[in-house]
Amino acid sequence: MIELVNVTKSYHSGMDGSFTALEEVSLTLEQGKVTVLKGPSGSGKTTLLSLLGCMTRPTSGRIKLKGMDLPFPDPLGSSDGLDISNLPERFQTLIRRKVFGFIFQHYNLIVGMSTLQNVMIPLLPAGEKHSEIRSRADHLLERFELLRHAAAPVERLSGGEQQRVAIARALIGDPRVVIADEPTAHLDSRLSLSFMEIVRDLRSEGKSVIIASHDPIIYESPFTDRIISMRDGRIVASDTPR
Amino acid sequence: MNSFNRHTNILDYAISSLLRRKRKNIALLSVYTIIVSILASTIFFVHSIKQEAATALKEAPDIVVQRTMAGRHNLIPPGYADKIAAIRGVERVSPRLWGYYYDPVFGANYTVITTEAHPIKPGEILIGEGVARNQRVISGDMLTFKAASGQPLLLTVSGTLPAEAELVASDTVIMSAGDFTGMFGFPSGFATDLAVTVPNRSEIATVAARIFAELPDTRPILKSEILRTYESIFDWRGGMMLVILSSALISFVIFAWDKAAGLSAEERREIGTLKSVGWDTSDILILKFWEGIVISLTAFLFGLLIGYLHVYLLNAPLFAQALKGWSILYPDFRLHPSIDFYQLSILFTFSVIPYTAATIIPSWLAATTDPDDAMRR
Repeated sequence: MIELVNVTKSYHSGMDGSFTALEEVSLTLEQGKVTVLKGPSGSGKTTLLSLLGCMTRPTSGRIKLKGMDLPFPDPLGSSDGLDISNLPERFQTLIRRKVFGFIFQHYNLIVGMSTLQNVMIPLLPAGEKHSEIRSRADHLLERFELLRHAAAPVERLSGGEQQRVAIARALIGDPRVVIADEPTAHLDSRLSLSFMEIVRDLRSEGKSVIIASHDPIIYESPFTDRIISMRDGRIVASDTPR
Repeated sequence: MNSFNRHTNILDYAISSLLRRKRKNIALLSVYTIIVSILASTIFFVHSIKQEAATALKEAPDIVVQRTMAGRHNLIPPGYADKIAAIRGVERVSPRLWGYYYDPVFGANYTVITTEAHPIKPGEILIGEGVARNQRVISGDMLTFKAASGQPLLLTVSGTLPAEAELVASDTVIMSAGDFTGMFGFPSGFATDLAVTVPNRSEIATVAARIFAELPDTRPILKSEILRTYESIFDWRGGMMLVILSSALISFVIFAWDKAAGLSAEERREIGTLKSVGWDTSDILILKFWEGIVISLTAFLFGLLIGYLHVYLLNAPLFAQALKGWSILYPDFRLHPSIDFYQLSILFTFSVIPYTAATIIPSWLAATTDPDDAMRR
């Protein structure tokens, strides 16, 4: 479970052009559910995903991981969950690598590298044997029907294939939570539906999936457990469709 | 083991990363290799040539005594040799006759000597390889010299000096004492200088001091001083080459800094992506360290190899003449491989470390920013 308590995120505080992207957000996300953050551009969805995924620190408030297997013992030994909002960088890195898997809007694949290399990237600094990482990557490429493209430079793949590479990369560390930012923004309806089928499979494996999207295919999907509506950096509604 | 795997995995990624920008990196590697190979050639060459000079001077007298007048070299009168021979510690004193002969036809200066090591019959000469090449003569041919009286002097070449002596004897002509005095109109009984043999090395300096005390118009020159002079000359020439090359080196540093340090927007994005998927700042620094090491170490090793082949296989055709410099009689000899590890370690320090630092520092600046950026692209 992930718990946010009064989380605020401001950029360029005290300078010209400062703005608050997220304000006093409190939220609890249960494990094994598909949650969609819905809202117009500038509503704070991406900022919320960044904070959840330890990509940046909140200006104020706390984010806690509760009841999750962590890649390191809680340095504070708190029974109330691990507060990830102010962890040192190396712990945040471990959490990004082991607890969360990211699927970016533009996939952020490394151009010029092969499909296989792209999938292996998150675990390269983890200290595992190259052969073990490769075996996991091969397994994921097979799962997402990309094995025949393993050696191909990733930029030669189609949009849908690139997204599947991004998903495979997000899953190589076997994360508990998968975070996706506007994953269907560049996909047609057929590919968007196929993405939601992958989401369904992830949920059935017990993974939490948090998606920021304003695509109806996502938030009206039967596999979506919860829709959180956002506007101007605040949560304005939280619905459970079924 | 974890740390080993981490480094090998990141090294593997670094090599793939460099191969992505093949054209840029090959261009960089080529320029880098050329610079290192020129510097390495200079170091190999100067070190070897000094070794050659030391080998050739091994047989030189322990002390050479010259006489001076008004600060200029003057001939040694009869009697000086006996006085020096009487000094304790001196084994032998040999008067030597030598001088210079300018050949206006070939525009070359020869060093003309007489020596007991090569007994020469009157009317014959032994010549250095440079003289033989310059005059295009072989054993049995005759050479004409112009004597001080203005008369021509015809001498027969009886042989050439061994190749090992090429560096310091390329321009040498050895003749009999009679021919020498006849050719130069040298006063009888006088010598150009005296070669003094002192068997005990620790006594050489003391003997030199005694000679100077007894014959204040002389200047005793120790073998170690001659060797040091040769070393200084080659060091000076090598240094001059390095000064000329330093402008090339500075240009390269600017070029490398621009190429390595100027992180493109794509590279910054890539660092952001790596951080967002689970790399931390130290992983990025290791990546950039390996990228820098792969380029600079490859250039260093290739440059070293090319420098070695250039000097020891091809005989340094690119700058040998500037470094050997023997009037117009350039010594032609094959250098024996001799490596100065101290200077190579300096070359390593100045070629590998700055480039690696130039790749790491800007990446460190980019890597310390939040990976949050990756979410917003």
